Amino acid sequence: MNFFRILFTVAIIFSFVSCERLQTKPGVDFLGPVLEVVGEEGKLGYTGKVINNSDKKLTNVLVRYIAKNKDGKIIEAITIPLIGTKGLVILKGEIVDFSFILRSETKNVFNKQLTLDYIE
Amino acid sequence: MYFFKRLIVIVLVQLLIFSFIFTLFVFSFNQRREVSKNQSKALASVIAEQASNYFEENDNNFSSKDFFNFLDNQIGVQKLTNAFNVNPPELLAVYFRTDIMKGIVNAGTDDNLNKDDNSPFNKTNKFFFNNKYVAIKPFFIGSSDKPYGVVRIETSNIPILTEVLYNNGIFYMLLFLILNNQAFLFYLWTKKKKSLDVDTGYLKESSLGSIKIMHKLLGDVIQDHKVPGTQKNNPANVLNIDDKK
Repeated sequence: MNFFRILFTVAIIFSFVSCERLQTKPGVDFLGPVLEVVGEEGKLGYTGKVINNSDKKLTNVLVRYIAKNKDGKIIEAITIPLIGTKGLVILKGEIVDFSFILRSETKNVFNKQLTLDYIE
Repeated sequence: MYFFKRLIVIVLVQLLIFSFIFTLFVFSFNQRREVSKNQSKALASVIAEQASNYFEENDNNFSSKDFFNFLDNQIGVQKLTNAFNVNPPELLAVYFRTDIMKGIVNAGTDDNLNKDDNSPFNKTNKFFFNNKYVAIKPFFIGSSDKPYGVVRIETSNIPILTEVLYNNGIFYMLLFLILNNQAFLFYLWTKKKKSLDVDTGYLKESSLGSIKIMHKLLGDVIQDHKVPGTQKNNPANVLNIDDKK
């Protein structure tokens, strides 16, 4: 009886340790690195590409950028909707370009964070 | 106190097992991180080479979009992503020497435009460790001794962390169970036999209890036989075998 109890306990533990949730699910991803340059006016500019890796069309795909200063405070936040061939709907496997320029002084930008958000 | 001591020993053994597994995890993580670092350095060299080619032709007409398309045509961003597999570089920056020298942008470099490991721009502490790796490579134009600019590549180590956990999670769990099993076997091996009590001999306390009960019952039976006239007082529903004879 004890053997079956142990077997049951181990089975429960193993079901929690499958680590499946650590695997990233297909969705939208940056295609390659995002390019950062200092523009003519001394402001930071970003250029990149986003791909829809999922097997569905996605709507309202947004690129979110957060710039923080050396104290960790947000000095600028930008949200850019991505526009594909069908407007705000990004088709399966479609690649969309994006680019934007910051308004903040470049020397004040200490930490940068780029994320993608979307609705299925 | 006895159980408390046992609990302390169990906690210590579990901590020892966890620290062993954690060491293995850190070892795997560092191995994978070194591979990623080398990939980032190699990529920075390739991009720097492409930047030299691009800026030799387009010195006065720089556009980030044009440069990105140039890279896409020359190398292919899809190939770049596939080459890195788990943790592709997040940010690829191209800074000019003039901008760095003027203080417009901080590239995390020293005066010679080489990577400054102590610069806070090259570190991001999260989850108790620096989870950002920055590869910096200066690029030159023509035969100039001074670099024209630098290529800076930022890579996050967090995807490596999750990948190592994802790939080795079951292994760590099995190791945990096996080590616990081994610890238990070791305990059985080293377990000392209890010293025999002179009065009770080899009998266990539980056996003593049952023997005491048996002793009491037997005593009662003997006592009943000693009392005269006990047989006459037999109740009607009790069958006596001797009477049938």
